[in-house]
Amino acid sequence: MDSETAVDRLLATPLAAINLGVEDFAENLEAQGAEVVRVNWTPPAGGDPEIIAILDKIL
Amino acid sequence: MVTESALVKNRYFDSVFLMRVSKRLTAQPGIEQAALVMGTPKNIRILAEAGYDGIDALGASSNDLVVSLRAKSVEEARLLLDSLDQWLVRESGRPTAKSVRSMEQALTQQPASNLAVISVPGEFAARETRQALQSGLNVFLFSDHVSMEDELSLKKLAHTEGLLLMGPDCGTSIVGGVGLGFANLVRRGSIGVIGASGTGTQEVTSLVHRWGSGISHAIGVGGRDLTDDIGALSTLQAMDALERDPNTSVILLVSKPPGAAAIIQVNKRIAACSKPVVTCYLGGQDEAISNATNITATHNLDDAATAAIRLAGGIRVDENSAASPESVQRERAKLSASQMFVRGVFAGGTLCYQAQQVLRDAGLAVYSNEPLVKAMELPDSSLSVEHTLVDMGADEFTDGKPHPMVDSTQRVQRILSEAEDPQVVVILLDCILGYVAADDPGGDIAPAILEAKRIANQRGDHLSVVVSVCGTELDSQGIDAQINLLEEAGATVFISGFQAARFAAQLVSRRD
Repeated sequence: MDSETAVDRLLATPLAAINLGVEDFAENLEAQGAEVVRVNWTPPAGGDPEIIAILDKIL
Repeated sequence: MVTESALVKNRYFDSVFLMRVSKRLTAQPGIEQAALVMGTPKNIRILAEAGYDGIDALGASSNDLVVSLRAKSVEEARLLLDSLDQWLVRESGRPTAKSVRSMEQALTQQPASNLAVISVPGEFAARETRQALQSGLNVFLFSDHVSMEDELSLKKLAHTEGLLLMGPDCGTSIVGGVGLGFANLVRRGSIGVIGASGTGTQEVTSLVHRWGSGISHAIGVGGRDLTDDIGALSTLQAMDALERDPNTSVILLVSKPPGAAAIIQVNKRIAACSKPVVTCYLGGQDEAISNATNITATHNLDDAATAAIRLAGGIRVDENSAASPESVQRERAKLSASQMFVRGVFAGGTLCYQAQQVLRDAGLAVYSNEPLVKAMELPDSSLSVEHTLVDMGADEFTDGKPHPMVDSTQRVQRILSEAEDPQVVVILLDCILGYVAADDPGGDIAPAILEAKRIANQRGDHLSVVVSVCGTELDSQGIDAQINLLEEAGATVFISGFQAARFAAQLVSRRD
């Protein structure tokens, strides 16, 4: 059998999630006892696709 | 009727939260419809096309909330728009200590993170997903409107990194007993599901639970994964993982029929799998099923769940069903000769799709906005013709408006308009429980069921209403309470979409 992958570990270990977006998803994960860190996500660069493309190039 | 709009500058809200607020505002006196969206160019276009005047002039950006109301009077609309702050409060809203500004900060705070749950607007989803994969995270990607090109490149990246990408447009997964997205609470067991659709996964996992068995994991892969464009990349990875998973003894694959090239890959992988595999390709008729000895091919979610339970060493524990031959006869006896057609009004796309298959197999020609074959596509989604099953979760009903699993407003309107048609025999519905779904989905549609029956009754007809409830007794809505509510409204209720559709087919087929 191949060595253990990150997917195998996902299925075998307790969930530790990072949530971006719908807050309900994070709340429901917490209610089920999973570890969750919420990212207070907002559209990058005010959502301007041109500025986002420039930022992605620089960073 | 007037339309009035307002802008809330520099406050970002997620789509499900906005659906809930929209539902509450729509319920206020004088309000016909509330639309709450972030001011992305796409959303602004949708609102303008929906007839909300003056949207462009608001000058909204993607970080601004746009609230548009269709109301009886300007005064009633302004009353709400001037007090928006009180509506934009999260009911359970408690900022947690574990909330950060960026994915990097999240990884610093929780170095053992193994999954990113991403549900940002579609135009930003690929960017965030790429970053998560590059950070070594598996991804549950709920967002839709991700391009095919982005999906393919992200899935290739995930594959190269040895990571799993569930989605895009992944409604439901269950990982190690924890539900992601719109999931139902189900018993743990040894059946591992791979699902290309959210409601298909919800239905099959709920049935497995109701019939006495349990789920190890349910891995959503997104609706396009088994197309030839994507080549089943996530499905094949999920199968690898479930084959290696010691808690999984049977693998159950639910999808529309795979593409011609993708099915060859999938068949090859199944033949090499050391565990039994149940396939359920909905809507198909003659796809090239492998003749491998470990494959059990099924064509509906009930048979799929039953086969998986048997292969996992269990016995399907049946419950009382409303579908006795006597009940069909009793219901048929009340119908008049001019009543001929089935009308389905669905919240769940896969339940709508499976019901079309059931009616087709009963010899009926069924129209839909999401048809089995292009030739049966409804010319206008808002108007039913003959036998019609409409998927109210499709884009044309949900762009800028809440999904019917969260808010039944549009479904209620459609149920009532179907009841006005004297040729209708039966209205077929679904009622989906679980995380994120409405708090009381049965209670939301029960008054419409009563009213629909009253409308038919007034013209001297009996209208049948058949509902399938998807969920379990562990879901917060409680399946038994929901069934009671629907039965009290006069509906015939099933716990499976397949059984409900078959009952509806029996009501209209071969009537003398």
